[in-house]
Amino acid sequence: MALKGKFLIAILLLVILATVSLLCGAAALGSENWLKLLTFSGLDPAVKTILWQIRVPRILGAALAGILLAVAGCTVQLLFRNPLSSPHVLGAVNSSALGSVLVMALCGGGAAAVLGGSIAGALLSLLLLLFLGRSCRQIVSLLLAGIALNAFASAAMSGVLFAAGERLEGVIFWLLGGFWKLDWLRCNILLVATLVILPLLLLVRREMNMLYLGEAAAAAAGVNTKKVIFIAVLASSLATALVVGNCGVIGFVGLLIPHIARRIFGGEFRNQLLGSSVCGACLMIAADTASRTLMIPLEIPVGVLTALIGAPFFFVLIFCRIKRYEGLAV
Amino acid sequence: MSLTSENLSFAYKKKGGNVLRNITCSFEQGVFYGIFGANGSGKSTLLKLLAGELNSHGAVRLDNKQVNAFSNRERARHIAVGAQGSELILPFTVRETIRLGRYVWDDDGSVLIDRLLQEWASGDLAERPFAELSGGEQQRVKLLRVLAQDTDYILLDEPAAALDWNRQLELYEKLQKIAHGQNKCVIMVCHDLYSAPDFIDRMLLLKDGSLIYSGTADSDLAKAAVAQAFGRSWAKSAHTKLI
Repeated sequence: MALKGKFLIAILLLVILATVSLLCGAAALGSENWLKLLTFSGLDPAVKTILWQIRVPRILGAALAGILLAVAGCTVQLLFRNPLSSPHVLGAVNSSALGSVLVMALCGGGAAAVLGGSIAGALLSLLLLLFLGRSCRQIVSLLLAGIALNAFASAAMSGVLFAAGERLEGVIFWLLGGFWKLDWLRCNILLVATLVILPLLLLVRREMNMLYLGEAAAAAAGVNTKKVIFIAVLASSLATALVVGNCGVIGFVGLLIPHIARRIFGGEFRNQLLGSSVCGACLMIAADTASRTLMIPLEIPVGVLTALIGAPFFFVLIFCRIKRYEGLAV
Repeated sequence: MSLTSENLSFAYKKKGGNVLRNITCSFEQGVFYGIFGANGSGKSTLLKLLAGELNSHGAVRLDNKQVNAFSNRERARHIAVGAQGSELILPFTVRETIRLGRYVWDDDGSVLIDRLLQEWASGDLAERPFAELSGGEQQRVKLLRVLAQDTDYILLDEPAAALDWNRQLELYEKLQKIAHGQNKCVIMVCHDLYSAPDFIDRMLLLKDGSLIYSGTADSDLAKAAVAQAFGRSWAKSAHTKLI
């Protein structure tokens, strides 16, 4: 099937999932309202409020979070030419979470403060990463530095949670990841981030494709590898930080989605990036719908669901003796 | 344009010994050079320094400008580098892979790429996925990517490594034609003292990081230098004529 056809089907799937998600939830809308949804007119005020103030920003936010995580994963896997990479390897996930947890422990944590803590954590981690990784001279140094940072941030976060005790009991739930806090403000933040990060990565798509040759060969072929690596690491870190700050830690999306996207759309960076975006949005909307509806009135954290799907897939990756991963050298 | 090194010495670590010692040589366009030497003699290091991948601290100059002073982009317009084969799996077709070599140029080089595919590969190779090629075919496509960069200087590190004997000879013949016919400087690091000397114009021989010979491959001095470098007698002979 032609590439355009695949994208059309993926977008159609996204629209269907979003529509289904809009209709599902703890509050039953009633089948008489379903047709009215098409025009958003004639709806009961209570239904309008549920849809417009709760479900629409949540679904949109979930889709955007899926796009950002998938895009970060796609970029990191190409950067390190390793299909087992994810945004975790940059240290961004746990550093962002540490930043948010510290803010919650010290200041009580309003939405803006928590988000600010998350971004600060990610940026600090990025600075340390670049310093430890010798200013992006060697990608493998970045990888090792990122793993070390990730481990440190995780340990530090555990320490903060232990020290804070009951005060931060609720944070545990937040750390499991979910979209219940997504309102229009958070949604708009994710939207702006997507509108900046996605085009930024598309701007360096040629350079990212050149990185398939390896950084030495790409540099010899004329690529400013330091600049490209910096942009890629910055974009991935920020994307991750903004999702963590708004939605908590949602794992495996950045690992899983690029694999699916490469299988369907191929390994060329632009196609992979756009394909990952659509697939990431689909997965997050589906996961959010499941989290809200499987155990009504309880809500399962989305991070738990993605881990339940992602972990078996990860084991398959590790133990399956596949040398070729849709265009990435192992 | 000329690529020169003057008293080039290099060590990977400050406390380590020099990998290269006082190498002075000049590489001209229109000439096919072969760099030979035992393992660890510094051949690949010399190539990397000439390519600007390693910092030569001013000892290597391209057209009288330090090669490390060029930006990656500027340097890639003059020097193309084919490194020793590491396994690559690319999600592109053969044509798309070769086109990666056109990164520094504004045009996609369709005419050049078509000509390279015609001269170097069979017709149906162009649209095949790179990942499905044999090791030898992939090696050839990697070389074509370097040639598509269309530079005055082409630096190749063991380009014949994965090729059978016949393909090796074809490769040397074609590189010789490129050097002479297109006025390019081709510098090839090579282990093949059996066939390659039939095609190269100048031989450089390294021993323990020092340049012990630079000249034609058929002189008595060349024989003596190879004997010194490898501890075995050697003479250039024409093994490679077509029957």
